[in-house]
Amino acid sequence: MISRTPLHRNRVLIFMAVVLLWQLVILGRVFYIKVFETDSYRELARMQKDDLIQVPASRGRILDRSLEPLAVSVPLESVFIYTPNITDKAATAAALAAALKMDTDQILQKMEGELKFRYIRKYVPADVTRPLKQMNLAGVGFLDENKRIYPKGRLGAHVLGAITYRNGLEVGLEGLEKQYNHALSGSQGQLFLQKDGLSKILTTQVITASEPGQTLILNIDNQIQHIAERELLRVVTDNQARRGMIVVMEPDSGQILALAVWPDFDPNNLQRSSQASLRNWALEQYFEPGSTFKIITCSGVLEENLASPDEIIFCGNGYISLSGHIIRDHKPFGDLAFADILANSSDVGAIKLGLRMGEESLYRHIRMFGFGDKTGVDLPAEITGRLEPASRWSGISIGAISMGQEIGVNALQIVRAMGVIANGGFLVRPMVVNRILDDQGNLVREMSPERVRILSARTAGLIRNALVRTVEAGTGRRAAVPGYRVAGKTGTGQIFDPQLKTYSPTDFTASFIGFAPADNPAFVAGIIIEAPRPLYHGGEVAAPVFHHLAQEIFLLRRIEPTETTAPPELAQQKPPAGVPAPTASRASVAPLDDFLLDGMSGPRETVIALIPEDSFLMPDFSGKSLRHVIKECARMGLLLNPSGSGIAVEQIPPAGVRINPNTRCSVWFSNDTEKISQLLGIEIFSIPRERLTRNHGTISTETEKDRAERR
Amino acid sequence: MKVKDWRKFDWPMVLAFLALCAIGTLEIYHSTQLQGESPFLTRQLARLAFGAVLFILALIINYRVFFSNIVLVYLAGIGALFYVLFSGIEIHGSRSWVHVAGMTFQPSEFVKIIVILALAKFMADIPDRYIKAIPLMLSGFIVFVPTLLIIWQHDLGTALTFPPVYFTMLMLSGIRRQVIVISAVILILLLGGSWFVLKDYQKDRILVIFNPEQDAHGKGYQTIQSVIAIGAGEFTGRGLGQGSQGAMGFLPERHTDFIFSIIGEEIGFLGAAGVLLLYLFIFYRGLLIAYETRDKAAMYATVGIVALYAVHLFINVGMTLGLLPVIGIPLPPLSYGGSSLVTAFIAMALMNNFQIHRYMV
Repeated sequence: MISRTPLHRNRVLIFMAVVLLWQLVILGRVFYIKVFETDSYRELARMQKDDLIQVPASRGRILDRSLEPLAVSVPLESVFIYTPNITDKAATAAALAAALKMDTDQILQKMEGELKFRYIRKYVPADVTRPLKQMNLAGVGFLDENKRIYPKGRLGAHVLGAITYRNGLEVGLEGLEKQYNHALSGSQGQLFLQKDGLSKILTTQVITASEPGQTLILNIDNQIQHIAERELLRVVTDNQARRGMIVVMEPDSGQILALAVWPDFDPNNLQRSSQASLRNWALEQYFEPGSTFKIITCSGVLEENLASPDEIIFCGNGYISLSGHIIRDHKPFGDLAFADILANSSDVGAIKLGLRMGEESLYRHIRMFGFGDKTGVDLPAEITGRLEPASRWSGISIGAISMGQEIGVNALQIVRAMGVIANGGFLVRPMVVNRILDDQGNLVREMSPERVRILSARTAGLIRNALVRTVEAGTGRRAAVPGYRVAGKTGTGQIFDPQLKTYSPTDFTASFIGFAPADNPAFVAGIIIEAPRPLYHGGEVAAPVFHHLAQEIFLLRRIEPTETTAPPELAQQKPPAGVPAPTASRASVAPLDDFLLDGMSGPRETVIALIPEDSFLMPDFSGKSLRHVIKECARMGLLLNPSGSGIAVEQIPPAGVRINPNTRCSVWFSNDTEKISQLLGIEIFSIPRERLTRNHGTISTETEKDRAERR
Repeated sequence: MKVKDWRKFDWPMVLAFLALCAIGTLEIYHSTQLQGESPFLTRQLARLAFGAVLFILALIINYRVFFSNIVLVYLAGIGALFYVLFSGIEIHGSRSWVHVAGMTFQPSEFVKIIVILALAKFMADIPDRYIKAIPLMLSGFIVFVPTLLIIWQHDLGTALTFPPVYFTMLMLSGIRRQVIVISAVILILLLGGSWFVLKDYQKDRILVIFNPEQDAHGKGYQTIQSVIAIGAGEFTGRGLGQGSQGAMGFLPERHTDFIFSIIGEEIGFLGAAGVLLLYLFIFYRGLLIAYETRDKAAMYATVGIVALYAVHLFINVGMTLGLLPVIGIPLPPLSYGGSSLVTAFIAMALMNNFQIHRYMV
């Protein structure tokens, strides 16, 4: 058996070599993943056993001024199943179906699916889940969740805004939910979990407790808000308007009592709302105010002592010539008392007053009223509106601006401007939130009213009287409330039609901005209706809304009538005797008929269009913006053929050539600075936009402070 | 038996083997703590004791007794496999276990040693320098029958250990180089061709090795968790019972087929490398025995045994590292598993037996 030389012994060496080689491969691999990749593996190992769970904080409530809840977070539970743990599918499904009032087959279907984790039902109240929990069903779990609920539905939707979910957290999307997201959110808590390979939780430890969000108490009065929304809905549907908004504010404090915007949305059901309906048009768009803006011109003239309140102003024979253009009034008024310029809304009168002030002074005054600045309201997405500095005004601008053209304002700006007249000369900062409380009800922050005097009490009083007269005997008669002194101004602004590239011949912004009672105003309100049809005058469309609004607010606030006057029919039919205007005798001579409800006349007569005299000189467009050129051409009735973009560099016919309306003209625009410099013979610097706006006009201390705060 | 013969007893190899047993027992204990009162430790200790008894028996009986009765032993092994096939117990889908005297045995583990002994005896009896066709086929038959039976038991892992062991032994027994090359080519072609025969789920299992993340919660889960365990262990490990993968139960089969991963996690690179070195040392001592013995049968048997455990190490560690597909194959004597542990003791004893009884006829 024993052999001296076993064959092929050396092959043992080959075998050894193979074993060694494999050992080296293994060792190398072990070394590699241990030394070079150990961190990532350690992290992987840690991640699957440790979990840091974010415990969401319950979002703060939003209450109206009478502590009526407008937005609340309701603690609800979601029921889920984890299929591997379910022992008896049929019985579990039956129990779930019975408790949640669902279909058993539907639940069974979810159990059969590939996903192990399935929601059976989201957002169930605790009293529904309690019996389920007591059954202790294997594989059935519950998650605490908070659902944001707006108990009053659409009420105040644009003020409250809405929330969305980002990374599983509630985030304010619009309105106060966005503006005060930080305060409302509270802070999340953290929970440390350790679980084993079967996902069984071994230990839990609270790292930080969640802190509930703070409560907002608003200035909004849910009843006034409701009235405003109801009236708004009525007026926009009756008049087939495109949009509408109503702002109601306390003039002394700037507290916003109601802010209604149509189209509205349902914050409880955001999925079904269009993107456009979420937008707060009262802040996010500007419109040409039209005649309501005349209060700024008139108060400016008085403040600068450029007119005396009992002065009789000749308002032309229905037109005025301004830098080569004729502006027609809707009616030849002849002589008008100062107050009646507002009451009758005479365009020529307003232009004459504006001219007395001059461009710089008028511009300064407009800035003083807060135009060209945000109002600083505590809502997101406010725009500043549109206001060119006086240095960039054309010859006609002073006239246009005097009567509320060539300027874009947001609804809150114009209401606030009216508030200045109402409260005796103070520019206020509109505020939606009154105070913030923590979850225990302790005061965290109280918003103090911010206001600054911009007008003398005398001027404000004089304008107020004129506005009372506007409602009693002028264009705003339909806003009148018998027994109360109501002040206000109508406006019918034009709307630029981007398709026609000129003002729309059919669409107008009908507005009424007023306050009541005139001598001790409880509120100032603006009703702004965009593109109503077929009526479109502010006096016809918006003023009646003010009437309804005021009546109900008087009832709510228990404001007693101050005057015993004729029944409403009479008040609306003819001007009452003894109008408290200084030049009543002469002013009331001017007959007022229903056609003259506002500073506008019908589309037949081309509203406030500047009709050129038979022939005129071709203006020099060089250096002007496309926008400006379009506007100018529209005014002058020129048929514009623009090309390029930027600043006008060439034009045909050339400047100074005598032309007629309907002349075709071509203008070339360019962004090429070198080319522009060459053509215009000037050096061009790019000027920061900020400087452009800041260096013009007086900035009231209040707005400065405002800005600093916002920054 | 004379005292002098005991001098031939390979203490270093046996000590290395016992060290592996100790490490295995320690890790089995620590990785099964999750289930609370662990029955694993006591069972393991009982198995070690049983293994020791068999070790002594297999050591003191002159190995020639086994060789001279090899036909009987072989037939008994085949019989056991048949028995299992018809009245065995099914665990994890394989019908490989039998109950004997209150204990569960897996005959296929013992058959591994029996087949090695049978092959060794058969090859040693071939007088030619190069093995001829008919003996080659006969030797193949010796391996083929038990392999087939084990495949029928659905225990592919165990069955897979036979061909490499057989091939290694063939190499030594004097197969011609040309035959080796030709069969290697055929093997490669067969493996390549089998790809087209494999069913989709079988392909998935193979593909998932190279990219376990593609099915992290299914077929790749085991591999990913295993590699995480080893990777998280760093150089010195996280300490006994401190590894979250093992102690907290993220790694399935951690005390059986994936014990190496737990060692990597809890004792770190040092532990893993130490274990590998212990194996290497045992293989080295084994091959030394093979080199020194004058008995061809003993030489073949020793190489076969070393090859067997090398294959176990190859495949098992390969799969814990994500280098090879997950086929259920333990790593004796580390893994928890009675039959494979006891078989390892017997294998150890046999190698020493060859050494001790070198000159005895």
